[in-house]
Amino acid sequence: MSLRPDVENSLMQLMPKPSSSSQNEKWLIQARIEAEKRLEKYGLPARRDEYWKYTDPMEFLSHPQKIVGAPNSVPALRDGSSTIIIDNAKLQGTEPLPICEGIIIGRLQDKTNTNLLEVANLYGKLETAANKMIPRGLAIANSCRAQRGLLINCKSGSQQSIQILHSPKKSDTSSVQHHVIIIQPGAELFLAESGSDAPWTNVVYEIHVGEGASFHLERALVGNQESSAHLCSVFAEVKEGGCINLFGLSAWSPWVRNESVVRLKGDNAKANLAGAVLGGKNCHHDDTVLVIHEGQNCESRQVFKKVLQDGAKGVFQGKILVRPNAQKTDGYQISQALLLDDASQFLGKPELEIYADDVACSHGSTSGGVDEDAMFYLRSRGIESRQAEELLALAFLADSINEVQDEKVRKIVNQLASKWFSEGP
Amino acid sequence: MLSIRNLHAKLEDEDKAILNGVNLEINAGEIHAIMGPNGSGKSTLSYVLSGREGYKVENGNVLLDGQDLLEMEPEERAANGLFLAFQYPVEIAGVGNMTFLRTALNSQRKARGEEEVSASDFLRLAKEKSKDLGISSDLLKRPVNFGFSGGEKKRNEILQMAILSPRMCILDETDSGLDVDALRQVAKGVNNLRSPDRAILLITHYQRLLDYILPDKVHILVKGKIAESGGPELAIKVESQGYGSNSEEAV
Repeated sequence: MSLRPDVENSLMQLMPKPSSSSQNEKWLIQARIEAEKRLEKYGLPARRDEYWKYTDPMEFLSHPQKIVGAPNSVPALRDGSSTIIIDNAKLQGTEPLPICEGIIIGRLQDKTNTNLLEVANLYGKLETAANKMIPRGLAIANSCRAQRGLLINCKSGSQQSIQILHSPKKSDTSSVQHHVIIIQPGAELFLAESGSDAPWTNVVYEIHVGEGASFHLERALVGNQESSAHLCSVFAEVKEGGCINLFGLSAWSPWVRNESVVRLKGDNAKANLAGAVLGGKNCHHDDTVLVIHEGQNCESRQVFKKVLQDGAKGVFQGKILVRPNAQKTDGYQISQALLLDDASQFLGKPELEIYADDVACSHGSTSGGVDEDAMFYLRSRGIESRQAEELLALAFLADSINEVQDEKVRKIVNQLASKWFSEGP
Repeated sequence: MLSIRNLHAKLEDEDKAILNGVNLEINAGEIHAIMGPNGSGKSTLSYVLSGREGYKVENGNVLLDGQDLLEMEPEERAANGLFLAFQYPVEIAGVGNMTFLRTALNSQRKARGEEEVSASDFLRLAKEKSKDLGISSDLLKRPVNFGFSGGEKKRNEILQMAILSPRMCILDETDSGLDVDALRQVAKGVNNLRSPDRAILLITHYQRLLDYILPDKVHILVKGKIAESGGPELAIKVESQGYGSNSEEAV
């Protein structure tokens, strides 16, 4: 399949092809050639694809790329002496990356450290595997053209904490990043990502969680109020006894699609996916999740909550797929929207696809307005109606925010959500 | 303090009148009790006074300290000193009782042009009030009324009343669903709040509550109208004779 010329043009603008300069490693050049072939084969998504039923991919590709007004500031979710801070300069390569015991961090654009070749060789692998079920052209395009990204090897038994802080310059109109991470057996990695988006962002995470290892990804990214489009695709594989926790907060972002594909490959593995969305002013927020149970006795949870107003549209497509051998699976999924006005809407598509016979899986999806009785109760105590709505909305979001284990991170996320109300969406 | 004149009200989406000309004057320092059979309009009166949506006032007016109460939003009524202790306090999962009460107190203070209370001062106040009322301060740590027993919910209403310190308190069947110990505790809380510049209106089915809180005046509400008014002895009469004769008179 070849790309339509207008789509190709807009893609070229947003994601220019990397030059085949000598600074790029052979493995990366090869990985990009293979990704180009996949892109040729699968093409980019279109609205007619079932998988893009509620979100128009052309809206992403044609989104205006300019910073209008000052972006909102977001504090670091994690700090403290043991946290490795990676700011824009370190991500872009103008400053060296920190060297720490127990973890090796490299950049896509640098000469690859030999200790990172194991990570580098996995570039594009989970993205490729995910395409076998549903083609994900925008993630493939990312594999072809990403010029920034981190390669992380978290060594066996070590515990690490990394904070990526984004603060785009005015000239950064688009950002394409591709991160590959290995958490070796028994290791634990906390990765937080916060800050403002570049006006147009396409991020891919490929995460390999080893036996008995844990990985936590917390993302709190806010868009520019007037214009920004953000696509994040997380591909993860969890081996026996491993655990992955993913959380994302989206606020002030006009267009967001977060895709996650988590494969519980080994027995006794766990996945916890949660998202909190605050959408206003015709925003479009899409969470599309696929959890695949392959090992036995695995647990997965999906908790997604959206507060929508002013014509915002929330989308949730979530699936729990249980393979024939995945007996004793425990799967749970809930997606809920709180609609603060009649102009906003929530489109939900919860799915269970189960091929094993000894499993417990449940899903639920609801949307509705604020509880009038609760509103009156709060107002009768003197709380002004917008503030009462805020209290109820924050309580509504709490179910997903409480999925984050770290109390301090939860506090910052709650403060951001509160700011959305006090300063306006 | 509270002056209700010829109040007529109905449910917004039904044609049936519920309040048919209620007249009531409550002065500062007084405790009044309104008694009445089921469906006489007692709860409607409390909702209309506190500004709940869904009711239409068709005639009459209500003044709180000379100000038109019916023109105010529910939160303005609260800031002006009105408090309704709910018959069925609402459970609000996820909102901490402490956060709720501090937000409420500070919203009221802000509306009155007073300085907000700091978190530490509020904590001190809340602890002091719960101690006065013999209510465990654990209630403050839990989400608003969430998972509370019937008694805990009513105690929480009284605790809110003590913290917010309103001038005009309306207690809607606060005695319902309480065992005798909880009833004593709630009554103690109300008696503690008795003061020369505060008025209290008790709405109740039974005389039982009035054994613990002695009212200055008792009114019998029947079919949306005050059918009879008198002193505490009126409640005792109702207890022994029922509402029968009043129901007939009001027909």
